[in-house]
Amino acid sequence: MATVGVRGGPRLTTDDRVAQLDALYRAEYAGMVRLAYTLVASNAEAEEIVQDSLIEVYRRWPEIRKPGAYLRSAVVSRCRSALQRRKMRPSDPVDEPCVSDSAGELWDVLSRLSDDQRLAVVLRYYGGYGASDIAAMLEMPAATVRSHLRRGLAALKRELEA
Amino acid sequence: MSHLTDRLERDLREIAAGADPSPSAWNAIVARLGDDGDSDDALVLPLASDESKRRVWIAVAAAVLVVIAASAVVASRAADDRSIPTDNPEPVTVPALPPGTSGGWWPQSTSSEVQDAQNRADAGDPAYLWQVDAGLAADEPPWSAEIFARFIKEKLGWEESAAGASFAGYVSGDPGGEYDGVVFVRCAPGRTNPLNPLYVDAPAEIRGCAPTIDDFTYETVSINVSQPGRGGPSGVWVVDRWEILPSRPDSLGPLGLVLTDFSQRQVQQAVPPSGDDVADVLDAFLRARVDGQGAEAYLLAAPPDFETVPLLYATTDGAPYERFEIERLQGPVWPNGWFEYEVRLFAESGTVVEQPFHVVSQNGQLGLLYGYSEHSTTENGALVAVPHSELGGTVTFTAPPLVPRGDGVVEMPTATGDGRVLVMADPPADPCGTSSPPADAADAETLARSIAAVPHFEATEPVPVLVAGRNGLQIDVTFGEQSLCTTGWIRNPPAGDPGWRMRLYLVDYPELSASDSAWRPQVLAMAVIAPATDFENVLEHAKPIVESVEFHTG
Repeated sequence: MATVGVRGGPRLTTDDRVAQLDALYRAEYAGMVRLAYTLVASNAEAEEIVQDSLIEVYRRWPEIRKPGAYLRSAVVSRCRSALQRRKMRPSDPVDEPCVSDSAGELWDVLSRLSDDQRLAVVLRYYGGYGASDIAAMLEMPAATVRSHLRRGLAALKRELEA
Repeated sequence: MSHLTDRLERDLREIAAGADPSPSAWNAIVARLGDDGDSDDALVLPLASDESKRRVWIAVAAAVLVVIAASAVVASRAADDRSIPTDNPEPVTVPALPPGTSGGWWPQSTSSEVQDAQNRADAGDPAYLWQVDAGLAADEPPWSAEIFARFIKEKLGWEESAAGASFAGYVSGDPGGEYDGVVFVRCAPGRTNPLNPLYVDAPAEIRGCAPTIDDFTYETVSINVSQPGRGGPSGVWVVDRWEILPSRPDSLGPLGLVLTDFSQRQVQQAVPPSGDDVADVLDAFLRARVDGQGAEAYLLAAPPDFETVPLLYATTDGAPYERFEIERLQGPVWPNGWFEYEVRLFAESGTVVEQPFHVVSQNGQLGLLYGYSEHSTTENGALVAVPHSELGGTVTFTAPPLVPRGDGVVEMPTATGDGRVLVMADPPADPCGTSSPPADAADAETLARSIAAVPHFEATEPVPVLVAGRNGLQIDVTFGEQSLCTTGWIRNPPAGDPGWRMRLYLVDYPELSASDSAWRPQVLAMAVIAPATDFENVLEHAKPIVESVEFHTG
């Protein structure tokens, strides 16, 4: 059994760490995939993003104080990168969700927002995170997040309530 | 919350429910953990040497506030009348790539060429060694990296260029492997920025850079670089995409002007208004507030969801103002030339009201903008509660500014900054939002029972309480260590942080008038959530909010 050095703390065995990752996986995986799905519109990509993020959490476990919070930030960051990459490769497949007309319309309008507005709106209104939480995940000032939210909401209002 | 935010929450839950997390994902993850190797060395590698990690830098706009549309603004003087105080006002005409020009990989153009370059760099070939950049691999700001300098000179043919956080702010995501949207502007050789005398506080790289399109407009390029082969300090970097950014529209709508995103548009500087003109507008605005009328004329029209100016003519006790003072916080801020001021209004009673305002210019007119600052109005140092009408106007309450304003959520000023109050209609019975789809509760009692039954929640028995003059229920919940809510309205007591508490007020909605037939809310919920160590303090702050709630059914 390999042993993992922990900076400034006790030593964890790999089995311990895998067990902790397993607990995190059980608690977070489904919710994180759903969150990622609302952002990247691809179930396969959402799963890949969350799995990559869990692997990263595992690798960095000795340095992470809050694995759950770190996982969320990692997932959001990867979603953001995926959205950026998609601009360069617009032919990448996205899923067509089987949802009500209302949700389908929202899905279309969300896809037309800027990446940061879309991230902010989804994290706020699906993830339920506050501006300061979103700011930490997106590594931008809370005021910028609020601006993205304002602009995103205004655009949604304009499009959905026209 | 409004109809819009209600719909957002409902429809996003429906969309999210369409995801199909694989039940065998754990096996795939475990298999990949095995790929990491099982030696001690493999597991204790310092992060900087983990070559599989990605380094993602994403360009974002420098958050620059500019003016929004203001047809009703009474301006003091036309700011654009100011001349450019320079000895070299002639616009510069130089050969330029047209906006929209873009390209792909550079200096290699295929994966095999990159692999060859990597091999040569590994062998120490100086013709390729420069593509290895340990600084980029170590998260350093990218602007001084050699790959950008070479690309700009060799590919674009620009003699001089500038970059910096002042107009090309970016944030890092995960460390490793990519920088996206790094913005540079072209500088006219041998010239300095003609607007230097007006922007004495501008960064040095800006003061030394004259635009090339005209005295205001810079040729601007956005560049992405990455390590398509090997990551980490020994991998070669290439430009994988670049674009000469398009010009800014002559007229931007109110919402489009709130932030200027320089990762998408040419960098353009404006002649800022003079300090005297700004002072005149502020003085007139504040004198009108002391006089008790006419101040609205100096405010720029803001989008409907924006916060209105509280305590415009009097303190919360109704005391009129008798004098004022202003303090410049910053400005003019390059490139849009806005100012930020803190104004203080003094009432005879001794009460002091402090408010931040931006003074901005659009189309030569000056006006004031409220609600864009990091901080809000205070009265004798305390945040001022302002009226909010939420949930389609069916509920009103007073509270500090909402975040985002208008959505029904209040972030409370607590010692930890983590306390919060939520005001919701018909929240899903599962506060973690993990059921698919979540079921809504038909009444307060059902919802209370459902929440109390959530695993790892320690909930008290519901007790009767009056909310908005109606009989409701109150329950207190302590979140167990396993309460790892990452989604849903409970808003994430952070995973692994035990000791969060919530007080929940639930009350059945009154019957709404027939005119609002499209929406029939059943339960109003107000949740006060905070770390246990700060819970009583947050409750105290939340008390006036809860007590101010009123239903409006007409």
